[in-house]
Amino acid sequence: MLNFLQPWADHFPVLLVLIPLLGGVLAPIFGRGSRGWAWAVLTTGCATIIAIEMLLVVRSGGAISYPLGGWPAPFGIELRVDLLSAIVALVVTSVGWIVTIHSRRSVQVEIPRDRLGPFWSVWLLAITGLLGIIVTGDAFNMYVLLEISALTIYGLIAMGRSRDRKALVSAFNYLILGSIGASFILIAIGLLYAHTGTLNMSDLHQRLQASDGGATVMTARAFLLVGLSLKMALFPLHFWMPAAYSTAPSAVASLLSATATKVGIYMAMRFLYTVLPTEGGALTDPNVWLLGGCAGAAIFYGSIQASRQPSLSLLLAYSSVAQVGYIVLGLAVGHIDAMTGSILHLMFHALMKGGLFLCAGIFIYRLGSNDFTQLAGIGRRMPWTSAAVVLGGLGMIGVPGTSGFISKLHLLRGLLLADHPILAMLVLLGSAMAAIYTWKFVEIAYLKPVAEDAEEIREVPFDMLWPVWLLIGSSIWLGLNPAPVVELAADAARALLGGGG
Amino acid sequence: MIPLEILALTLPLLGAILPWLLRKQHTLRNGCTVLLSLALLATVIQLLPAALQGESSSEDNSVVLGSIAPGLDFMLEVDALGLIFALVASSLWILNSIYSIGYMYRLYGADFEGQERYWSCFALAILAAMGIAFSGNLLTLFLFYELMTFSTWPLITHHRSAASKRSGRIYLFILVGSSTLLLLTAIVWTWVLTGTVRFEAGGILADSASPTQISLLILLFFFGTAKTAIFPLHQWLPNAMVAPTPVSALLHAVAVVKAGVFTVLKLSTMIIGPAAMQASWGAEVVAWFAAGTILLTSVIALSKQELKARLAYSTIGQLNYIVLGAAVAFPAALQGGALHIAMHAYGKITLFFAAGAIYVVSQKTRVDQLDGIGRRMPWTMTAFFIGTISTLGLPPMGGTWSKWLLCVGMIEAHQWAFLGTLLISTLLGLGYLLPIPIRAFFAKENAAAAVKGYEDHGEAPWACRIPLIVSALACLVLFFWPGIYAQLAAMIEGSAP
Repeated sequence: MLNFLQPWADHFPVLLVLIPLLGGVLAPIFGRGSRGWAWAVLTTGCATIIAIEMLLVVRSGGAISYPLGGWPAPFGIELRVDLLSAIVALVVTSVGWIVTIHSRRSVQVEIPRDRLGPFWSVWLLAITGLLGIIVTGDAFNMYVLLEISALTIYGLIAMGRSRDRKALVSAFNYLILGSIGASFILIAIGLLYAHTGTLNMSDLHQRLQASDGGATVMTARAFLLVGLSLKMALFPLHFWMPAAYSTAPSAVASLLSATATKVGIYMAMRFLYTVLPTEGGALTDPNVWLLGGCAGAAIFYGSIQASRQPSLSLLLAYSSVAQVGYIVLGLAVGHIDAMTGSILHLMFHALMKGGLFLCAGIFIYRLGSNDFTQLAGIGRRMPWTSAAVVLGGLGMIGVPGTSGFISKLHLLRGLLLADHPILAMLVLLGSAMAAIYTWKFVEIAYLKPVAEDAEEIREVPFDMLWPVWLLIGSSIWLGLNPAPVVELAADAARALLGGGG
Repeated sequence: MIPLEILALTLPLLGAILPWLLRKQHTLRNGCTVLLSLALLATVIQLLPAALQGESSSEDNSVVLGSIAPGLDFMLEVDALGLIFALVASSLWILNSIYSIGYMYRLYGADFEGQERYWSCFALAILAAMGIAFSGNLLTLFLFYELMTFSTWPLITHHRSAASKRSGRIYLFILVGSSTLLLLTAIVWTWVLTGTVRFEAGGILADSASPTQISLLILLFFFGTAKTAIFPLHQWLPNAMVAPTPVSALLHAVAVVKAGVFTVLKLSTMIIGPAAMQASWGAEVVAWFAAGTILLTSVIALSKQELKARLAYSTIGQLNYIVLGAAVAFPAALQGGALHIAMHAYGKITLFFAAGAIYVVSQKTRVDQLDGIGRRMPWTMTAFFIGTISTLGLPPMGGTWSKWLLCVGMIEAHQWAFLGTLLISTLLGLGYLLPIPIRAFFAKENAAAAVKGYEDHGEAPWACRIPLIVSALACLVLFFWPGIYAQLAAMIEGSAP
């Protein structure tokens, strides 16, 4: 651990929220130029360092509980960080940091100049909300932070309007659906509160486990499932996502794909395994079938739709629909290996999809759009960006040697051990279909001749490229040397399935 | 000191990086590529003595590259079967590099488009071949198996035409589809059943899986390895003919299909185990499919007028000799299968080199255009004749021994139908291959068949001619001194009765 951070070690959970919050509030005074960007980089960088340190603390000393304002749980609000939250927090902060570093140029081009100050403010507040959801141990507090992140994200998406007017519509659609989802979650939390009289999550879990549940808990579970499915864009409640991701400013799309849906999935893991009552650490059969069925359909539907899209952004968004399916599949089955695969895929997909959306943004930066008609022969004109897309795509397929393979391997093992061979076949089928949509890009980029009248296009500057390659490169590196990460994920999965942190 | 296995992966990796660094210095790049291929052969030869002294599969000589989870590593290990494949691939990489220079320069000029990609992917395919040959468990094998698929795709679509795009799609569809849907399932299932994916003498499945499970796994494994071009997954190979000829040679002789048959031999001997293979109905089904493929493709080959297509169908048949050997899994059949990897490689690469040489100087691609061409190209057509004899497995060429052993294996197993299949396919082979060199030397040249602008041609350039002469000589030499290959084949697991 870094020595100067030692005195603060007890306060890491709250610092993780306070730093981006303060950063967000102060961002407008840094103005519209590069200084606003530098401030955002500094803030997210500090948050990343805290997240790394916090993971080390949790790894060595077990879960951290932090009573806000000194009020002990369950009376005050408790921040609670276990291994899973520490992992997801690190994913959100680190990918958020790299995306922030990358997006200086693309934001200057895509966001109207008079909005640049507020942009970084909203950007940091969105990260604040997401991090808050991860560290909190209080159900109602989680809802509040969920609204903070959601409201800021609607704003971020709407800022894509200068490039694509449709951004306003998709932001509005997302606002309606997101609010419905959040209300459902609120109703569920209210029902649970009425039933147990507590809002602290570990307290909730104990009381719910002890009581026989009955209709109230079942209703709450139903509301929660629907609300969370909307938030994490699980098929068939995914439809806001492709529109939102393809019209949002490209930096925002990268940030959201890497973090927002991941946090939705984190909430699902949290609620299903450590708040609602479980049957000896597993979900009941109807829940498994419902979630597993939706996840399987998501894999199938997302992959098919992805191969039919007219632009790279849309392709990537539908591929996300499918990839969310993989993660939820492992989550639903609840076998230790499958859960490990889920947590691994949550991390690796954030790296890969974050990098891929950055590439999509690079094409927008150079060409004005990333429609496939424009990308003909791009492989020779922008070799580094195209190569990154291909490597990221190989990760989506799950080719051995990429990190996507590692997570799918564990997922498959878990599915087979839990006696779900049909779902295992679906995972494999999804991989094969990922090959189809990845190869759609490869053929266009490398085999199609460049249009006669195409203007001279050069590769983007190095400061836009290296964050992409850092994300994609680390996803490859983790595919070849995954042992430490796998161990981490397995421990987190064990803690989750053991019930409680 | 770096372990030799690592060196064997590093040298082709250098070969893959080099073309991007030396974009303008073509001569230097060519020189370095040939030198690297020589160094690779030297490295593989260095590995031989230790393996020949026996006890090749002990714990201590494995090299771990990386780890996924405890007991699940990327690791390399040298054994006799792997050395056969590595020797074939590394020695033919030398010939193919020289041939590529001659062929591509003559047809497309010294500065042909996409040359960095061409040389780089070529070296990557060799890297994958080395990785497959020396892989110590299923996971490592799968890693390099997929690397080979993806690294050869840019070679197949080198011309970027509509036809090559279509072939590239078929190639990926069949190879990636089968390997992810079937092979990966089988690997994970094996892992779940046995808790390991290591290659071990006598197989790892026999104790922990029921006979039905073993049979199903055999089906998944053998049909998941579509690089063997077993029916009905053979379509990618004839379609890949749109690629430049050196690439076809890489596919057919050096790396790709050999990786497939190597994999099934490895699976048969060291995952499922010969005893379990002999007892299972799954292997029986695979054997019938292989036999069917042999006969079917021989008949199709008879009807093909495109020279490369005819050779492609002949390759499918020959590959399935090895699949048949692996499925029958009697000692001589396994030994013959292993030896056939080497023998078929030298014969078939000679034929492809010759087909390419003919195309380079005369633009002729069809069998019926080749009457009398032997008088213009005596070296090439003599080599073609030698390659034909060796491919058919007739004396005095190297192919004799492997076919002999395969036949002995069928007799040991009392599989008379399969023995008959081998013999009939040899007869059919005589019908579709032998007329080509005979008519080339003895039929009258048909002036109307000449391609405009290429009426009066002579021999191919030396850079094309030398490799095919060397590989033809190798066929001849291997009959009299099958030496190292025969020794290695006799040492593979399960080959001792």
